[in-house]
Amino acid sequence: MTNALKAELRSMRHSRAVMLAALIPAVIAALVVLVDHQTKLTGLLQAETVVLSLGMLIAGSVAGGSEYQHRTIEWTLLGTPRRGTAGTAKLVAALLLGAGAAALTLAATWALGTVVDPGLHVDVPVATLIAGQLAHGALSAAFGLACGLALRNLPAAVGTVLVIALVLPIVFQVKQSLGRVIEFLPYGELSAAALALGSSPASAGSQLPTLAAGMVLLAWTAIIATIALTRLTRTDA
Amino acid sequence: MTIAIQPDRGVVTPPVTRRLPQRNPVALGYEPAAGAPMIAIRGLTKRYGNVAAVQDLSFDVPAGSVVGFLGRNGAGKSTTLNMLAGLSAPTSGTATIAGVPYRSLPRPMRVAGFGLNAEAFHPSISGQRALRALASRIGVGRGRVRQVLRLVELESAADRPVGKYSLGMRQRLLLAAALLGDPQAIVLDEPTNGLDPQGHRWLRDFLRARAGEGRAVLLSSHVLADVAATVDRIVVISRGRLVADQPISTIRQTASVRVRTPDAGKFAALLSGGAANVQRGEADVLTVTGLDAKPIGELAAAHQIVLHELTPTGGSLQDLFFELTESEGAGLR
Repeated sequence: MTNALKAELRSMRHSRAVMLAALIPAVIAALVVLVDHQTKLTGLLQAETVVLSLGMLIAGSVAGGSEYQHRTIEWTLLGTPRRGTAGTAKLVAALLLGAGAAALTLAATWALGTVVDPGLHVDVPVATLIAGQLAHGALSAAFGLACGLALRNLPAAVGTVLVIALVLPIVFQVKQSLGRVIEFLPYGELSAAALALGSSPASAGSQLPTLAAGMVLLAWTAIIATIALTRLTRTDA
Repeated sequence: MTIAIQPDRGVVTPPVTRRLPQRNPVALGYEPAAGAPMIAIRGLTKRYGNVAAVQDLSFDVPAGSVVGFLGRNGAGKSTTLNMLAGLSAPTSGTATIAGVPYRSLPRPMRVAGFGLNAEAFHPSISGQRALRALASRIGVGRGRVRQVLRLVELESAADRPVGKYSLGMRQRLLLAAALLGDPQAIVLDEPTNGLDPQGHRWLRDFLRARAGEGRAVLLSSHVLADVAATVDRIVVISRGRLVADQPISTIRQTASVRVRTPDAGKFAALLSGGAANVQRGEADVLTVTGLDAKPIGELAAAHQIVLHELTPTGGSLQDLFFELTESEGAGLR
């Protein structure tokens, strides 16, 4: 398991597409801080949260889907033929990648925000904020990776995560009759944002508390990961 | 060595089983069974719906030998190798390496090295990085990466992205990846694709040397000349079924030489006095078995017999291959 995890992390580090998708949120978050003057940290982090969700979903789906695009899955399974171990190592590597990228993005936003406005108010408990940010980044990357492994097709995986993150929330917001269903979607300014910010974003009108929002995102990730692992273990490579 | 022709299995002869060479069991994570064939396929079947890609296939690859695995496109070779590698699951039957399915080996790439697909590398990553990622997965050091790159003569291109490699270079990288764990069994699918003539010869010598070290080599190839020059034994499949499993030497033994001479009667008598078996066809034509063209020509020269033709015929791997697979239709590369 340790060797498989090391190999997965090495593969992600050597993939330019994955690293770009993981680093771009920090860069965009920094740019947003420079143009969007906010007095509260969570105000600055609202944009960062959306960018981080997208970046991690894309990084994860590229990491998972490109295994099949380039047939490197053959080497993965030759080196780690126990497929449960191989799939788990991938998911753990994605969790670590996502948490790392979230930490970087949060640090960039917070540090630059403090430079731009030394009176920047940290309006949620720091521990909750950091834990929420790391969990949000980690689960988003794992969600994306699971989509890539489940679909086994890079364009389809990236397209699917974009639809889940961008299109579905809009559809549900337009369809007001669905009421609170929208709060249980994984992305948009809802569960992911509530988890990442340590509080429900006012703009989305979500009523879910942070922990519940985290559980929603965790449940979605677990469902997709189960589908991915089942497909990996039960079907031919 | 006995050769049996079975109606349902084609030409089948028992393989020579050699004892596995000694290796540190701790390094392998298991202890190989002495005397067991390194690779054993038993009743292997793979069905996709109603289509049987491989049907009841059985053969062995003993340690210290090179076995050629032949068949036309779509005959089921790659499907068989994928099942051996654990990449696809058999519908029934078993494919084992040292008595264990590949997926159950504790350190699989240290026991068996597979070179199945030269395209299975990320194009933007250098050959060296691709091998290092694989090395960290199987727990071998960077020194071994440099070693295998040197072994396949790819050191100078090690830092170039794989996407800029020629097909021949990717084949060498594939071989390097297969050898990374210093495995006792080497399985290669069409390894000569894209290699230049020097590469063909290099690979032949390389594989023979590995077999000489006691390793088992299973080689799937369409290049019959390479196979004939490399292997100890051939396994031929057609439409997923075994049609031949025999030593390459038995094919060579069936070779004949067509001799055309105006002194056919006199020369036939001379030849029959030795080890040759002579059959007389047309008035001036002899078909000689048991002797190569060279001693026949020398015998003719020694007795001042004029020869109008001296042609080796039959007995080639190509002839056997076409004979065994001709019912499968066209499509051989």
